[in-house]
Amino acid sequence: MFSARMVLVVCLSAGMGTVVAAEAVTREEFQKFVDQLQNLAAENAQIKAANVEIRAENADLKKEIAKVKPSAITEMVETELDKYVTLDEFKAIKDGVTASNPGTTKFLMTGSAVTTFTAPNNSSSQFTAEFDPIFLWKMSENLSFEAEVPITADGSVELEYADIAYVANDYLTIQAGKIKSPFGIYNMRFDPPWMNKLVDPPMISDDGADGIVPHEQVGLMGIGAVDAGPTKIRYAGFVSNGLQVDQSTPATYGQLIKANNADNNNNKGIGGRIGFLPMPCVELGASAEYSSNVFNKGGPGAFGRVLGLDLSMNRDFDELMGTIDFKAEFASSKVGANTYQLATATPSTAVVLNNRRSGSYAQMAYRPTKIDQKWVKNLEAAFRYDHLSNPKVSADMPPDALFQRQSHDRWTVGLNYYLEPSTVLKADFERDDHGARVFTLQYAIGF
Amino acid sequence: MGMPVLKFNLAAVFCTATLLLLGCAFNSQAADETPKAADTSGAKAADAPAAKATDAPAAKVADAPAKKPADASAKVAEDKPGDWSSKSGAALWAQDCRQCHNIRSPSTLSSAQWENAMAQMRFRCNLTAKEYRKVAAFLKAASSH
Repeated sequence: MFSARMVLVVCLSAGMGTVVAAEAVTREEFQKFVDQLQNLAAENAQIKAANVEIRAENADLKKEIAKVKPSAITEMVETELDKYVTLDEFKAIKDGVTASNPGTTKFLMTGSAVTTFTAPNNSSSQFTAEFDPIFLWKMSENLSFEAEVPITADGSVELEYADIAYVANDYLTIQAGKIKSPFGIYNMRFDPPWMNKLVDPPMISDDGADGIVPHEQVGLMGIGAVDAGPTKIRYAGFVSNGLQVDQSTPATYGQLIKANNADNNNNKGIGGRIGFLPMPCVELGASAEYSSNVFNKGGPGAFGRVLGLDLSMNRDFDELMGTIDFKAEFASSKVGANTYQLATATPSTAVVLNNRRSGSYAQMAYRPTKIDQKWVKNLEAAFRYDHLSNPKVSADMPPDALFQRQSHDRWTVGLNYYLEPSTVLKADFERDDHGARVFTLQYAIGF
Repeated sequence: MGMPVLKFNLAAVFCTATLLLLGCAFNSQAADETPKAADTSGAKAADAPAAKATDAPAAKVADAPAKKPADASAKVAEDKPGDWSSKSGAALWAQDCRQCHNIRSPSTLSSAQWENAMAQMRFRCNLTAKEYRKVAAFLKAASSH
């Protein structure tokens, strides 16, 4: 509209100027100017009409905008934003997708695998292999399941442990099932081959006839730990099927069986361990297990008990440019004197008095972790001394039980090389006071 | 069944019942065991290569003040300086795990896998509740994915 007015004024000014300048205008020229003026007036009227329509439309739009609520605008914006994913949301989605993959959410398979070459001086050398899968299932925040099923190259499959763990509170977890005995330190924690500094287990923890430490318990266990200022206390207590005496063969009779998959006499066993850590690198522990009767139901009846003490230390020493790992355990077992009813034919009965056995070991390992060369710091030297005391041989002892009934001393030296933190190559040499010499190589991996 | 045997069985049953009662009585205290205490200092320590983590002494790992778990109930005591479990998750990880085995890099497992593994480590290694929460939070934050 403004521009139209300006055109009109300019035109009129121009026309008047022409009239004044010429002072004599023909009628035709005047009529022409009048026509132009009328046209401009008509155009001006049209512009005014259009302006009125635009004002009306503007008012309508203002009314429409006023009708829209701010919350609706926000909602509309949020709807648009919802089409996009933030970085945090993306990470959460990614975690969710990853967690839904098999083996990564409720269920995890871990464990170890080991191959061993053994060359003894009194028998043929051989390779052995074992695969120890561990199945973990976390059912809820407080409930989880664990099981280990070792499988050996000869096809044997064993249920090492399988238990449900319930976190009752900050200080107590209750385990039920077949559980690892909380006895000493090796059995509970250093059993996996990639954690054991040497190829063989300590003699007192051996799964064979020599062993003293009970390996597994079928029953119920409460376990936990608590801060005691700058120190820490670990504790575990259990009720299980109890100790059982081995009556299967003359070679092992009188010894206690390492597991108790079934209760042989309706008498339960109790036991536990308490550990004290005065500083982060040192632990002192004491363990015990007791059963009032270790014989089969209807048998002679005699108690059995196992006691243990342990000490462990793992610490860096700048002076030695490396890490020292030291472990020592003592264990003793006693079965009440009685007449042992053997399941085998010969001899049908035998009497062993003072059936007390004890054993111990001290193990030290050194790893030069503070030396710059990588291949050097991956090396580790280990040494262990084992001792086992058995009851004196009685006159009626079966001949094939003689070796098992003698005391043993064993020395083992080893050199390890860690390919990865949980992958190790071991080379050990072992000798005992009965003339045995054994060279072993082992490749162990934890996954 | 003689009297000593009867007494022993009663003792065994008593121990069992005590364990169960203890568990039920304090059950509410463990209503939420999710390790939510994000340990950012620990996440930084995880940047170290696996080989270094294997050999890393505890002193070399970041030891920032630990945060209180977000879901800690009123009964859970707060961290007191000098207490065993008052260290950061990274420091506890380097301190505790090496007592049994070489330390594995947090990146070797995923967050979900660490959650499973730590559930077992809690009772296998007698970890305190604080140790468990802090180390689990650290490992999950520093895990591969």
